[in-house]
Parts: sequence; structure tokens; C-alpha cells
Amino acid sequence: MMINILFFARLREVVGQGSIQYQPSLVKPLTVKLVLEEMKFQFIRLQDEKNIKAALNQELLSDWNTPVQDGDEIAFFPPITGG
Amino acid sequence: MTVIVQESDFLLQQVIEELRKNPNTGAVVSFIGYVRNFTNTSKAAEVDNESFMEIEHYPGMTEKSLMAIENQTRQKWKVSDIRIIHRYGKLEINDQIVLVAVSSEHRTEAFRACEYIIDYLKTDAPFWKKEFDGKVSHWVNLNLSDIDKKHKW
Repeated sequence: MMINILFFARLREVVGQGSIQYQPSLVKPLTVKLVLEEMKFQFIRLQDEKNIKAALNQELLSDWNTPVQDGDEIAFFPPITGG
Repeated sequence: MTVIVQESDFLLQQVIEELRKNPNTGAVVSFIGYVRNFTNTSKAAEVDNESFMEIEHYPGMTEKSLMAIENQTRQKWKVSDIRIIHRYGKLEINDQIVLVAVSSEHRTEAFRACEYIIDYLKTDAPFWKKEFDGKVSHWVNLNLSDIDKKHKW
């Protein structure tokens, strides 16, 4: 199982890269929430970030317990500030 | 193209000319968002070229989210055409950031739809602004009133 993880804006700077390939070692079922926890473990500075938002396969996430499938694209970012 | 995400600038008049070609157009309402002066200097001449904004976005999701907003808008109001242009990259103070233009047979739908689109764009389209002022830079914070504006619809 391989997941493509993207980081944007402030979170990209905190992590030091815009994207990583992640091969989960966790037991199933994997959720977006568990992926973020794993990222916070890998990138300690993410633990200081409040109000992290996510998108699953380019759609804003409404439920952090949404299951993650092989090949999914998950993006983590701070609140949107466009317009 | 009804939704465009681009680095280059845009011309309002050109967009309006496109919309008025539709024979059903009786009204066009447009909104343009600009880079506000975020420095401590009030005089335009004193804002040097070390003050600028960088806009980052999520290619792919950005276009999808703008198209979703367009579809939601069309379900709520009878509008003829919609154009959304949002820029990314390096922008200077007073530069144009975003354009929303809506045409309809009568003005009410165009006014409502234009405001609805920009309110949703502010919270749903994945753009992030970073301000640079000399050696200092910071990511723009979430404006809670933007969320209130979206929820009023």
C-alpha cells in the first residue's frame, strides 16, 4: 500500500518538502487521522501546528475518520486564505 | 474556460466583452480582489519592491474546487455565464488577485451569484497567501469573518 502525501504553505515549510510517498506500517483500517498522527511522529515540528486541514483525493475532508485506500492522495495544509 | 488559475494578470474589460456576447445577457456583475497594502507605510511611493505577496495553490484541486463552486452557484440562481480567474505566484501591492464575473438576464441573480462565489472561494479554494515586507515574512492568517460570510448563504 502506497499513499501520496502533500504539504502546502506553512506546513510545507515546516516539513521541509512538498510531497512524500508513504508506505503505512499501521494495522488496518487506516484513516486520514491516523496518517496525520504518523506524519506528526515523522516530522516532530508538525506537532506545534494548530488547525491543520486536509483534503483526500483533492476534496476537502469533512470527516477525519474517512478510510484511506491504496493510491490515495492526501494533502495537509493550514486554513485557506485565498481570494 | 469558465475557471482559470494563472500566474499572469487579467483584463476585466476582456472578460465582460466575452460575457456580453451571449444574447441572454441583461446584466454583468463583477468583483475584483486586490493585494492590500499590508506594510506600515501608507504612501504608495514608499512601498518598495521588497514588499510583495506570494500566493501558493494546490494544482488540480484548485480547479476542481472552483468548478464545484460554479456548479453550486448554477443550482441556486439562473445565471448565463460565469468566469472565475485567480492568480498565483508573486504579486505586488495593488495587483489584481481574483476576478469573479457573472452574467444573467436580470441583475438580482448576477449580484447574488457573484457574492456567493467569492464567499465560497475564500474558504473552499486551496490558495494560501504569504506576505513579504523587507526581511520579514508571514503566512496570512485565517479570517474568521470569511467563514461567517459563507455560512450566511
